[in-house]
Amino acid sequence: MSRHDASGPIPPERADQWTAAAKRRRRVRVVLADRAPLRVVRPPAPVEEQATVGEKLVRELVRSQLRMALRLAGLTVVLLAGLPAFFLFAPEVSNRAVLGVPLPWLILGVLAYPVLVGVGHVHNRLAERNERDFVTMLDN
Amino acid sequence: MGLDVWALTGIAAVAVLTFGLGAWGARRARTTSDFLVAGRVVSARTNAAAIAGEYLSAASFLGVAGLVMRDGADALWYPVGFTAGYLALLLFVAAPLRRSGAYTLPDFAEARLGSVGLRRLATIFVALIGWLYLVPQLQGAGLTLSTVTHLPPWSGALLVAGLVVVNILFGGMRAVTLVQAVQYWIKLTAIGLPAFFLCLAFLGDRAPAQPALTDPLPPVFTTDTTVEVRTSVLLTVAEPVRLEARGRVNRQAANGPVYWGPGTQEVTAGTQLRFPAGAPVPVVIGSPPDNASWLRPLYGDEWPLFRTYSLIFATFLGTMGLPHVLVRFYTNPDGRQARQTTLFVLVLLGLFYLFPTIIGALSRLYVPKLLVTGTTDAAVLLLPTAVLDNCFGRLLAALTTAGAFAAFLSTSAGLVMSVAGVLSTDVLRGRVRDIRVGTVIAGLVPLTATVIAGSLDVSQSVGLAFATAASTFCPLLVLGIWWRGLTAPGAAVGLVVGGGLALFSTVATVVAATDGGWAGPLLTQPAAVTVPAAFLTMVVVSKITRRRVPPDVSRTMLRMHAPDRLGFGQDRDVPRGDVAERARIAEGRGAR
Repeated sequence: MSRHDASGPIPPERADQWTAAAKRRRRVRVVLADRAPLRVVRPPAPVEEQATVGEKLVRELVRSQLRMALRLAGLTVVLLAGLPAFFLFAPEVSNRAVLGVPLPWLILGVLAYPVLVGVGHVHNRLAERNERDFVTMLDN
Repeated sequence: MGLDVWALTGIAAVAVLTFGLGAWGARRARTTSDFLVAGRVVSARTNAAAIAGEYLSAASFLGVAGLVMRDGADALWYPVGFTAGYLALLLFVAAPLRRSGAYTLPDFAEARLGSVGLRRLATIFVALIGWLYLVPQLQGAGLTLSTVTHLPPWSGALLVAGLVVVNILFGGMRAVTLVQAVQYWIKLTAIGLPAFFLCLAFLGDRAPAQPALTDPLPPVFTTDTTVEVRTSVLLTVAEPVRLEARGRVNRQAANGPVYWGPGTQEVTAGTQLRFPAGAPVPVVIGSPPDNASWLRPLYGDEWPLFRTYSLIFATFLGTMGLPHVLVRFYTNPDGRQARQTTLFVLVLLGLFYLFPTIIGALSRLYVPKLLVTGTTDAAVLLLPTAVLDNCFGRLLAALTTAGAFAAFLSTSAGLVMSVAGVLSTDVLRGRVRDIRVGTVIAGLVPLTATVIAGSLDVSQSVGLAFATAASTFCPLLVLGIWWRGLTAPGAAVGLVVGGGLALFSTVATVVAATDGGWAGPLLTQPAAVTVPAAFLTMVVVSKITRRRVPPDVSRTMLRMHAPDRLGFGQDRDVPRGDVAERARIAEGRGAR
């Protein structure tokens, strides 16, 4: 199967094509004058080659993104996956009702969804902040 | 029941709309890239509606309401888990996966770990999970069509499979993206409007001759009701009941009035039970018999906490491993857009899942006969006419039927498409013609399985597909994206162990179901065991085979995690196809 040979490690000449394609695309964006114009950053060639500094920066980025994702996942797990145990050990809570709707139904049927969306929103903001920090670090 | 013209019109409208939009969108689908990932130019909002439209399957549209009706508070974890799965996807997978630039899951496996063998293994699991998930969709279609007409169940399955395959043959994914986005809104309307109006009707009619949902009493039949038992069931009787039975009860012939005291009754397939108005409703074994225990979470003495946690495991982590979910992420322009899209999806799903719960709770009051046969999947279809026996009720019923059909069509389309995608690139040679061949194969296999196999609860079989996905692709993706130490042998052994265990419990559950018994929680909800097992195996075997860590791992990590504007996460070139086709795609990119 010829295809499989093609998808191994990327040959350098193809990487060049990509860079060219990337440049083209960025120029088009500037012409279209997006509301929030993206700051054009030179693809910092050193990041890919220098195994020392660049590699360290990338490792740092991956680690901070993972730490952030794990924290948010932990929060969600405590908030949601803690509920069955809570219902088991505090059965009187599950008999409570608000506006005629029992508490477990209200929590699981309605409130859980805004919580999920909220956590997702926070994640997106933090993830993008981490990426901005990474770009700033490369600039310096 | 009889031939319901209204509902048939609804089904026809959805079918025509799907086909029409598909044909309209198909005019622009020309290249391989068009077919597989819609040329990667779909906007975040459209893409989110398409993802949600594709994801809301028979299990969400019919299954959730049915489960809520039968199992009460514990069933609320299904929709929460189906939604939370997208949060897990957002936190751990969405952006890096998009930047990796792979087309399919096997593509990702090979790009990350550089092993053709692993790619083949991943292809097998994509096809298996896809087919496992397609069977309940086609079953649901059969159930729906046989509920509104007298046609045999296989005809609905055939209709859906045929429509999907033909639609993809002529348009591929670009057409499907548009169709899916529209279908989310169809589904939301088709469940939201009926839920709203039926709620109003319920509040207006305060006095259904029912014990309240908070009473420790079973629901009662509001009118004289005849129940046809089509598959043998074990019933729990909470309150003594007098009824007429024709057929076999407790393995003895019954013909005339009988009295059931509290306990368990076995009713053989083909039996007819006539309950007088006001009789308490016996329920299928394993579900809460009275309203108060239905209302409280953690019903049952057989490890309720384990069951709940295992369900949470499967749904939270299984979503990211479903092949039709992942393929959608490749249609985002970049990683940032992939995150945006996922957040929109969370909103759209949360909005949708508010309604099946309401329908489920109302169904327990108005169509309790479904509790006797256990076919609670039909609740969404039957509730409107049970609450409002007039034109408006029939109109609402037509709406829910049409929505159900939209659900089968869109999910099946996504699944067939993604299975066809991996079949055509990995088993066939990846040209447009091969995608067409792959599509036909991808649709034919589950159709055959549906026609041959017996019936399993829609949401139960979907749950098993989630468990299998969670025990295979979830660890592969999470470890592949975040851990440099993953090796191809580690991933392969992990896939086999996790997937093998999950598939074993699937087979065991199906066998137990056909025997009329029911498998224990360890088999029906295996994820709490199989997912950690898969993760552990991958880590341990990778550590042992440490020198097999791919040499280009740093470059891959950079590509997946570097911010989009640095330009490392470029798309991989078109996997296969002739030179002219590549040129056309390159042209398309230049023009953008």
